[in-house]
Amino acid sequence: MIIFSVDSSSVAGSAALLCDGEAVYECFAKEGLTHSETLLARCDEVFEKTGYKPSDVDCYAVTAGPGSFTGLRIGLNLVKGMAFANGTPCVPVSTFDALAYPAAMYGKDILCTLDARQKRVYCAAYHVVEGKPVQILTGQILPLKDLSDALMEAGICDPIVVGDAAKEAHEAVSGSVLCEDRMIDVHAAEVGKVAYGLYINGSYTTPDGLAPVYLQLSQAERERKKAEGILL
Amino acid sequence: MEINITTFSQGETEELGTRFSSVLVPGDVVAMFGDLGAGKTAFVRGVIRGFGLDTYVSSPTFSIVNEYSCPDCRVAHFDMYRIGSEEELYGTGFYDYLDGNSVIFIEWSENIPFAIDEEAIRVSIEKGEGDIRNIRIESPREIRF
Repeated sequence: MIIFSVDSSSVAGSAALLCDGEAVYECFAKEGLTHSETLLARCDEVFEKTGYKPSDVDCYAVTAGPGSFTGLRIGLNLVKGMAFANGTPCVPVSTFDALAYPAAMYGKDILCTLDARQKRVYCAAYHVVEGKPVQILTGQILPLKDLSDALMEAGICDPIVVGDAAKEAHEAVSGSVLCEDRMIDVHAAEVGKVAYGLYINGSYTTPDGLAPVYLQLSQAERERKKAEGILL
Repeated sequence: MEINITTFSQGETEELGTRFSSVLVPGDVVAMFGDLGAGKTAFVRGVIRGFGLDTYVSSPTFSIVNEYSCPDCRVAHFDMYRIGSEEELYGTGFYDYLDGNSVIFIEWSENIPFAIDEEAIRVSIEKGEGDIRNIRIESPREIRF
């Protein structure tokens, strides 16, 4: 069973091909937000190196967010286009799930972080149960100074910190462990592995069912709007 | 530091923008303040010319952002007149431009105070009598042009 996966949710961009949930080849680069120029070339390279053709792909996977507004749109639209040709099933993968997946091997709680600017992180936290990450704290934006308390309240203890705000979050949470460099970025191979688990459980969609998960309104902003009587 | 300059025509405001361009490097954010017709776009037009690109520069009121590939760097010219929240700002792709590869100009910075940090250079244009404009440039670093 062939999965082709793509990530362009941040300054890193990658494409990978997996056979029965195992990565065969991944093309990864961190060249800034140039995905509109480079992502398709990476996909080409993956097909070329593995010898597979787009018609061999059983399922496409793509990071659906949260992440860079432009990056997400490029990745999702590219996958939609490729999958549309043969009506291939698609699996949207949470950026947090893709970050947590490889970190589960440490057997510790996991804190996934994305930079939300202004001394805030967009984060989610996981327990590891039977080697698999299970989300305990759902994705939310938190000021760095509140992170420690939020984790404690959620029962997350001494987590390994991954994602592009890992360094800042690690400094803010005592007892946390900074991940190795590779786990700062999302990798398409990990996106594909998460997608494999979802796909075999029947969780996939049609190409036109793919939709981005953008940045969510911060709690403060939501409350302000509620106070102002603006319906959401 | 703060620089105060008075210009007496739109052409002079543009000329000031051209001179000002010499202090900018990719990654700089220039927050602009000033009423409709103050000359914010004229100033940016001068900057783009200073960067060596001879092209038509208009206010991105409807497109929200115009991008210019100048010989030495990329310029993103934003107009936040219709942007009122952080979520709307995210939806313009604004945060993606803060990757250090572009010089960013933001018209109507008044609308997104939460996104203007202390590193930004602030340019305020105040209308005087007729075509007279009082222009204040506030910069966290020493600039000379």
